[in-house]
Amino acid sequence: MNETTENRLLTKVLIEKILGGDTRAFGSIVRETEKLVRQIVFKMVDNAEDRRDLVQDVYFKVFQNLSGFKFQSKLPTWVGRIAYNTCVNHLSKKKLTLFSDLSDPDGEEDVHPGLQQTLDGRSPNKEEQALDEKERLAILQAEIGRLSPLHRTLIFLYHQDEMSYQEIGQITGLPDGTVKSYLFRARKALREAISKKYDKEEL
Amino acid sequence: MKSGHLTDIEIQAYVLDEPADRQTIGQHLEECAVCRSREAEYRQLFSDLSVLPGPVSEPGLEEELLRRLSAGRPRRSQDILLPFLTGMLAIAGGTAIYACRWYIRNLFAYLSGGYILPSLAAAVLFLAGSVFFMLKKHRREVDMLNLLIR
Repeated sequence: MNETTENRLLTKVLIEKILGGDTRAFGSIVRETEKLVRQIVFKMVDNAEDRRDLVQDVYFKVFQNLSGFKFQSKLPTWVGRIAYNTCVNHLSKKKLTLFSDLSDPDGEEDVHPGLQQTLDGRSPNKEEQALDEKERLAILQAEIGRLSPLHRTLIFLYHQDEMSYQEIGQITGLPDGTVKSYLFRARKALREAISKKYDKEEL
Repeated sequence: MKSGHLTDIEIQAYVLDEPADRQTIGQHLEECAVCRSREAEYRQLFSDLSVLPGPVSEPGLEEELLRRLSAGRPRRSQDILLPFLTGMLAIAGGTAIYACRWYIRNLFAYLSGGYILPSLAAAVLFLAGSVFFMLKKHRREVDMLNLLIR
């Protein structure tokens, strides 16, 4: 029995147990998916109280709709999709923005002004060396905070949870190509913003 | 060597090991300090993104959820479907019997009471037996799956 089939069987047994009334078995789904659910909820929603309620809402929905799980994706991906949709509905109710355009009309690079000049006199990594890791991460956190909830979520699902474009697409309901394109723009926006910040600190 | 600078798309793909013309890009990076600098920025960015702290797990969430969830078991699709189908069947059956009442009366006029009761009893027994064996088979499958999870 290969790993996928075995996982599928285990998930099926688990779901049967829960549907049969063994609520405690639901705990293993919570343990398996809590990090992902939090990642999505925390990146999409800023308000701390709302986040707490949303995490619980997500699991209530998962519990209530468990019989609707059709094994078309992994269980955590399905739970992630419920978390994402719950957050999208929440943002929509609160009339908050999910997505802001980071468009890059021609898709071409733009060399940061002054970069060519500064390169002549020093090594390429001087900016990075000038700031210690703590400062760098703090700047990065702040810049991520400026991204739209959707871009933030995509960045974290890809770079922290190491999900593929396809898995992220299953969670967000976006085509793989769109996920790739949004991720590209978000990374570029982050790199440029951080680069500008370094330049300012240098002055 | 590529003329002009590399695009961000090319550099990102190169750093992330995604399909790209790696040879041309690699050659360009060796010779172009501007693009090399951007490549270094991306490498640093991706490395930093992977070490950023994630959301902290909330202690007691699982217990609280389970406490609240134990009040009600999850809906099965049959929970909604079965009563709905039964209701529809009852309405359809009732309507059909009412519509064919003259025919049915004539049909049973040729049968004596001695035949009707055993026929009904056999049908009920057959249905009960089918349901019993179906449930037994389902139970056996669940037990087998339970053995696999242990």
